[in-house]
Amino acid sequence: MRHIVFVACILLTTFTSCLDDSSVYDYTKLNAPKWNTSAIVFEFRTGETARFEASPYFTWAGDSAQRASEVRYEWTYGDVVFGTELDFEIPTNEFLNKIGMTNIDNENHYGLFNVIEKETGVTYSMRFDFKVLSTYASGDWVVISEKGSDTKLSYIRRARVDNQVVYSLTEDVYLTANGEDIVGRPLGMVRSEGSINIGLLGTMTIFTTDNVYEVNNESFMKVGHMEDAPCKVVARTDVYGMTDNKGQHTFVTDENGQLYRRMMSNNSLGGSFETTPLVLDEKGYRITQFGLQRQQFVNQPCWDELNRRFVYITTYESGEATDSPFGPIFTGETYRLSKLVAPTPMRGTEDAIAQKCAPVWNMPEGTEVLAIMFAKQSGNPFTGYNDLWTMIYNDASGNTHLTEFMINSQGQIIDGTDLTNQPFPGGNLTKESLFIESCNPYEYYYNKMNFLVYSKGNEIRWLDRSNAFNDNAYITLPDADDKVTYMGWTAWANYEALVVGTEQGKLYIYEATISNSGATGTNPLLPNPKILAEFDLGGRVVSAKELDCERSVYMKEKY
Amino acid sequence: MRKKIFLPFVLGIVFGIGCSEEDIKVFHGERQVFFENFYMNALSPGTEEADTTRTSFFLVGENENEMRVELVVLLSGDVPEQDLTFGLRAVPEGTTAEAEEYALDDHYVFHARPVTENMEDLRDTIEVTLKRSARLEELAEKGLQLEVELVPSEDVGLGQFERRRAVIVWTNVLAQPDWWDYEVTYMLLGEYSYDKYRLFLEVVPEAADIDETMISERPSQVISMVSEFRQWLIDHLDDPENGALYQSILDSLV
Repeated sequence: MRHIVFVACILLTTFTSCLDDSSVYDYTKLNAPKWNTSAIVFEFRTGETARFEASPYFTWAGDSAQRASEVRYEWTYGDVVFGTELDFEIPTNEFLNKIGMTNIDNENHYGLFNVIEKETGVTYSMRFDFKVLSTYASGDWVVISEKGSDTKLSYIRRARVDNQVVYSLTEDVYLTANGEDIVGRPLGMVRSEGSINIGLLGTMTIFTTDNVYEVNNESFMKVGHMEDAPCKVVARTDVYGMTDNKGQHTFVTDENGQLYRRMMSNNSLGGSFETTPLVLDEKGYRITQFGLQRQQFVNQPCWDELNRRFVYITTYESGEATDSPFGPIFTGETYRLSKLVAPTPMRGTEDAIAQKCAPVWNMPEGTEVLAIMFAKQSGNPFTGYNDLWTMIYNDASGNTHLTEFMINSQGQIIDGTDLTNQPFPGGNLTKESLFIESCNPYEYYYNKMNFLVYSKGNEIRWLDRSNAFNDNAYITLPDADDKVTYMGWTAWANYEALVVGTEQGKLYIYEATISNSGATGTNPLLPNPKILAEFDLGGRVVSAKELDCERSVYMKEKY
Repeated sequence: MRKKIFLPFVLGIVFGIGCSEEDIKVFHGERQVFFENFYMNALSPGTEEADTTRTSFFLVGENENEMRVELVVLLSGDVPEQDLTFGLRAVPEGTTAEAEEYALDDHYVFHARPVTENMEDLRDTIEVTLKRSARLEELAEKGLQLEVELVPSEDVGLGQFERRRAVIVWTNVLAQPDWWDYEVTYMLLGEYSYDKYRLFLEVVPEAADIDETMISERPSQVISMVSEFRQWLIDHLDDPENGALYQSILDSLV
């Protein structure tokens, strides 16, 4: 009997203190919403209405009407509760005021949508991501097309509606903003995102048969006619850093292919054109073409028609520095300088290189260059990486060739396994053909890598760089009599679409968001993709450019 | 037999304690007050640098003869249940101002407030009164200096050594702002001058918002403010009184 008492005592003393444990655990039956997303995504524009909508993203188990009456909602950003309804609309500017956001930074921001039980206060939260864009924003496009004997600038807006991308067209935005037409037929358009001294989205420079127009991408207002350049400007390109605050370098050429430079100060507060052209070497030069480059301070390829050679503009860092075995270590404020370089083969390897690639430092007479593009960084982590370039050219007999060559950081053309010189796999082409490559700096994770896309009449085809430059069909324009006059990837929007302009004034946006599960690398290109949007601009499309002010995003192409 | 009873009791107590609940206190210990800013460089291994509070009578308007400058004080230790008082005294060796050029209150109060979630420190603001004096004009950008030291009380002791004092410097002019660096000088506004900066702020009030971030992220905004200033100068060159000054400022803009 005593034993039983002892055991009872032991049990009592050990358990009683744990019995009433309600201060730590308070069991309430939960009935959580069933979410069908991991985050709600919104995109708003200033000056428009922001719509917050949570109803499509969750359901209740059981009687949903009953459950809905038992809860209330809160939309929060930081400590601020800016909405208490399930779905609601609010002018974007009012929303920004409420949450105290003054800077439109195009960055993703996070808030919480809370479902709160009225009786218990139990809260179920879902994250929402939002991005606030300016009225004209990254991922939108502008197009130039013929308008009689003048030029029309149109704007294509990209919006996300119910997680679908929807495009809409506004024509003649330059005329609306400035009350005048762009005089002369369109010749081309250059985007300068680095012109942040003019606006956050930079500028477009439009070349016509009559004049040069520089336009602020934030408003489509005319900035001027590049009057500060010391020559009649016939072409332009810029190099700049998107992430560091080093001023943009602008290069323009005159009718003789002479290159003039404007260096902006570190924060682009000012800068002016030099009055004399850049000097290269005793041979002189005549730049007639700027090739496809990436964004950032990277090499800008050029074609020197006078000496039939590949040359490039390179930039380098300077400033107070100390020597080290790994090169100079900068100890103070740094800035960017630039120069024109004519690469030649590394001493002693000229013959070996000439066996593998075209002699791009001294091409034969009659060579006609169709395209020069950055291809990729070639190499491996142990030996380092060098720039691999693609050049497509016609020889004196009109046969088209494709060559790839490699340049190291000292400006030497070097030997390597990736070099090639072969007849163009898609047959012979003319100067009318267009070419784009998705630059692939480090051989992995880049979308649309290893595709060399080209146009041939009303057709767009591609070469598979990863598979011996195999030629593949891709797109045929709906109208057999039409011709491709422009094409470019939506690089900002993760290469999810291909924008194509035509001779007859059509602009097609083709879907290219295909998963990686196909056989041909990252985002394969399957034939006959769906047309996401089609616009009729009424006259030959000459160029289109994606707006971009994403200064934090690394390396994209400048189509 | 006793042992048999004793053991379960001990066990019971041990288990019982194991299940009791005690909050971890974020703010706990002897109460100490100190300034947010360091008046001297932090002693090793600290890396914080001395920070002086600077202000100017330029900012308060011509008719004001006094201005209040705010100093942030922090409290360590137990959360106060009632307001805490402490004192402030001027440190003669760090002070160039005369006694009539400033005023210290008899005592200062650290207000008791409820602690909210996510609160990282306990802080309050105290104010020191500065008085306009004739010699401020001639001292120009050098200005006057006041070094104050916290005085402990029964309520509260003193905290970190390097943060027991605060240095205040005030002038009658507006000093060259940090963002007016060599780039702004050579690319936009030219050499700094007091007249130029004052007029720039008067003509373009938003220029008060210019800082390093705006210059690096939105240079176009800064450039357009300077353009507005330039246009205003051009429009007022015929001013009978200040026309010549406006002309010289205009000429000095890049």
